[in-house]
Amino acid sequence: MFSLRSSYALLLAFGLLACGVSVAVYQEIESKAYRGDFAGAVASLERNRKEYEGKSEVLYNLESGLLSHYAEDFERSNRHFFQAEKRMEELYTKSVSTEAAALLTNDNLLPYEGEDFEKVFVNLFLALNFAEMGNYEAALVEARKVDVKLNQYSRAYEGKNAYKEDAFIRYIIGLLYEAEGEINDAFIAYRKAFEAYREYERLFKTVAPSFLKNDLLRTADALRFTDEKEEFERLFGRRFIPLSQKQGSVVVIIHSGKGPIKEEISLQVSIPDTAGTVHTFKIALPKFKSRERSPRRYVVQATSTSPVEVPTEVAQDVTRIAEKALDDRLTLLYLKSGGRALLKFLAAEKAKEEYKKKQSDKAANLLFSSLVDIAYTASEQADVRTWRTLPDKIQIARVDLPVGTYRLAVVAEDGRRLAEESVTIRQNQILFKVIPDVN
Amino acid sequence: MKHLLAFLFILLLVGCGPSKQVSRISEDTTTDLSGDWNDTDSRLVADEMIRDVLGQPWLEDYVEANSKKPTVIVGRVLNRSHEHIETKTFIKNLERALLNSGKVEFVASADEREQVRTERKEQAKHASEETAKAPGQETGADFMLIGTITSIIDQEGGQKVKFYQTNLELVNIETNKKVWIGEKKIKKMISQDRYKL
Repeated sequence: MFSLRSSYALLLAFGLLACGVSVAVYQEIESKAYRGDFAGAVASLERNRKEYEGKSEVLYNLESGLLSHYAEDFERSNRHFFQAEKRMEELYTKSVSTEAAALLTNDNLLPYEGEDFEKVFVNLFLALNFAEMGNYEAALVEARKVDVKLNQYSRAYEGKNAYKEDAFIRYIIGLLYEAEGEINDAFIAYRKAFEAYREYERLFKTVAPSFLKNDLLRTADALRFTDEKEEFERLFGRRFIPLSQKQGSVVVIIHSGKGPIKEEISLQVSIPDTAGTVHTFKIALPKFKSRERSPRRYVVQATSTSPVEVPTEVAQDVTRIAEKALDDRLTLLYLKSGGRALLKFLAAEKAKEEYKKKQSDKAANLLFSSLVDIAYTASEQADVRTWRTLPDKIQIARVDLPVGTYRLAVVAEDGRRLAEESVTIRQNQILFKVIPDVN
Repeated sequence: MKHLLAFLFILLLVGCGPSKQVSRISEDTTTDLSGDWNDTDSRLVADEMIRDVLGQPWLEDYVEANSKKPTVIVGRVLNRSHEHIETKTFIKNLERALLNSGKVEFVASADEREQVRTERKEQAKHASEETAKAPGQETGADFMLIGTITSIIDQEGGQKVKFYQTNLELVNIETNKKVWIGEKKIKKMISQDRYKL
């Protein structure tokens, strides 16, 4: 009945192209991760690797890298993150044929390259891996890469994007320099972090952690930068009191809550023309959806003779950054989706027309018209692939302690004890401790 | 039919062939694959530094004043670049060239010393008296070699310019005076196509 003209075949193909990693696989991995069984989640991911092959290889490495980071398997985590980084770079080169096919169908056909903020977060987690391994030099290498990437994206968006600076990584850079004994570099990084947090406050409602303020005052004082010290004292409304004891620090970083996921929002417009044929446009776009409400609260306890309690503070709002970054890209996406709607519309119209020429039966005509519209509409699907194991927020606490051995514990507001271990604080040494609480 | 079978057979053979090929190349061949820091960069830096450090007056000055060869120790070469660089490679190259020139003596670096000291302690316990080496006989170095590698990256779309600067300094351990500063700059342009078929 229907002759298989190229235009029909194309339309048929539209409907068949919905694919990707199945929901069941996500559920299996996430149910383990949210129970705190990160090694088990990595194993599940490995078992289902085939689902990610080809188009979602980057995602596979992102998920595996982060789950291994949560599981404190830093070597493995690094391996996956390096792999993800390499693949993301290669994907800068677009395949013309795949792009053309995606233009006619949807972005799920494209290899997943990662959102810009996801590309930056790869280096952020690599830096944290190296920091926890005690390799501060390598951690700083990763932190520097963040700068290069952010500059590059800002230029691509002509400075109109929100996520231009990462205040959190700047703060980490400062801590790493201080851990290496390079106080001048540390002060500069702290100051840049503080400036970046002013933007963070406006854009993502994240204020500078109180620890950063202490760090600024202390390093300014150590460097005898009196003007700067007094300026910050005025700004923070408090005076700096130097410590009399020999001290060291532990920096506790908590990956807290479930990160956002993407869902599809679609707009559909139907317009009948003069001949009575109904034309349907659909535009489908991804949008981030938060999976958490208010930030969780934690207290870091360090006990030797008497306990010291320090509450953590939000230093990086991953969900808000994700939302803003996608909003920025959406402007570009709208254009692409709009263009795609038009192209598909033209293909659909051509099919209807050709069919009409051969069929005088009005009912058959109408039926075919509807079928074409359904196939075409079904093919317009938003690419909702995303790095699902990301935390909702990254929280931080810097605990300065007199030299000695302590029992370190992190307690959540509902009484859960997240981590408990013994740490030895040495003079001027900074230890990094990363704790996941994404369940 | 016969032809078809033959064709299929050839296909099968081709399919079974090894997909990886190895060919040996001379170690001083320039091989730039990713644009990252590689053995060629390491060699270029070492060559430049060796040429420079042996040609400078500090060496003659020292020999003249002390009537002995200077003893050098390798300190830390800080990686302040955007890449994970194995600084040990060119430090070793440098150490070897200096040592083989016969003009300089080297003492083991901090990490190496630990190993040697452990061995000496072992000897004190287990080796015969005639062969066991006594403690407190280490040679103190006169100069320390320290340095940094920094990089600047400029990127726009598929175009990337990488600029590396390696600085090495020889510091007189007694006086803190810097007797030599070596510098080597490397600049690379890397481009990646936006589209492929």
